[in-house]
Amino acid sequence: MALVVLPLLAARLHFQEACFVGLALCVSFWGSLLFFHGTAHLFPKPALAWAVLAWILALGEIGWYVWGFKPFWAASLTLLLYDEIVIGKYLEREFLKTYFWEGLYAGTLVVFLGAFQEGAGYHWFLKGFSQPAGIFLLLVLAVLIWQSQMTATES
Amino acid sequence: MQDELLLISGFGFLLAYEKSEDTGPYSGRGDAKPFLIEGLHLLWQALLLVLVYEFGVMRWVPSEYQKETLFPFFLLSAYLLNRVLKKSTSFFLCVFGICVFVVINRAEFPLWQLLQKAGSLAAGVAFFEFLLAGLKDKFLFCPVPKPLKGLPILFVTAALLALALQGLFV
Repeated sequence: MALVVLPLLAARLHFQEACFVGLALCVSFWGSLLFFHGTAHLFPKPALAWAVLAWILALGEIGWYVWGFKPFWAASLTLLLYDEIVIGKYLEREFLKTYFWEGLYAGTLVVFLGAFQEGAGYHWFLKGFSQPAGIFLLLVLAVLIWQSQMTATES
Repeated sequence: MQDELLLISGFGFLLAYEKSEDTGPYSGRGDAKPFLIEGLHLLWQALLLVLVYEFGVMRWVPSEYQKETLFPFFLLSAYLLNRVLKKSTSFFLCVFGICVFVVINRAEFPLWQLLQKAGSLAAGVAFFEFLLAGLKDKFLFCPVPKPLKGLPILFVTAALLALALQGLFV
């Protein structure tokens, strides 16, 4: 899940832009999974990958041309969606319980990325977090928080 | 240079993470050849797509529609190459990311400079992937604190690598 942020690193999101991208990512993720949950059986197996790509293409084009997001956000969406649907992992998991939190978590991570990248321009003590090393360290924290939350839920 | 480094480390991490998950430890064999081949694939695909975009889309599509064509062109062509050559999802996203980055950040550069930029980014991503995958493999045999096992230690390693690259290039 934390990997979703990686394609967006080069996009240099501002805070406001990151909020919109995070929200779009989260909503697109839930919407796409719900859509394919209902319709995946209508596609023959080889056509499903193309259908997912066409879906991502449409969402990405809307994001790029209408909302003005840089195309890297479509790469993040592809990372979230493509293998889940094409390989069919999403059919084996508890749908709402798992994916609701995953989408929310991905969106929140993108917002935090934007906050730190913009904050780095104004506050000297945040400067390190606009660079790759700082962002990777932030991701360590994010993964640790996610893992501890998962452990707490399981126990 | 900072943005280039962000791109190199982001996509390099994606490739290395997937590689080490799929193929397991590799440094026991001391084999760098798959990484070299993957780097070459990345290089020629990125160069090819940028060239086709420059000579195809930029020359033949009217300028008012060029913005709309950029995203679908690179996503579709990278995906097609991926399907033909049977590469992974991360690999195709990497080709897509490099091409988009080069074309979006162009500022009246001549063609050879665009190609040079695409080539150096592809080489950088492959280099980062090679180093990170090797280090990831070493951690299989090291005592790593329990909470850091898996993804967190890989992020810490990537952070150190990124610092080293930053020291070299920025």
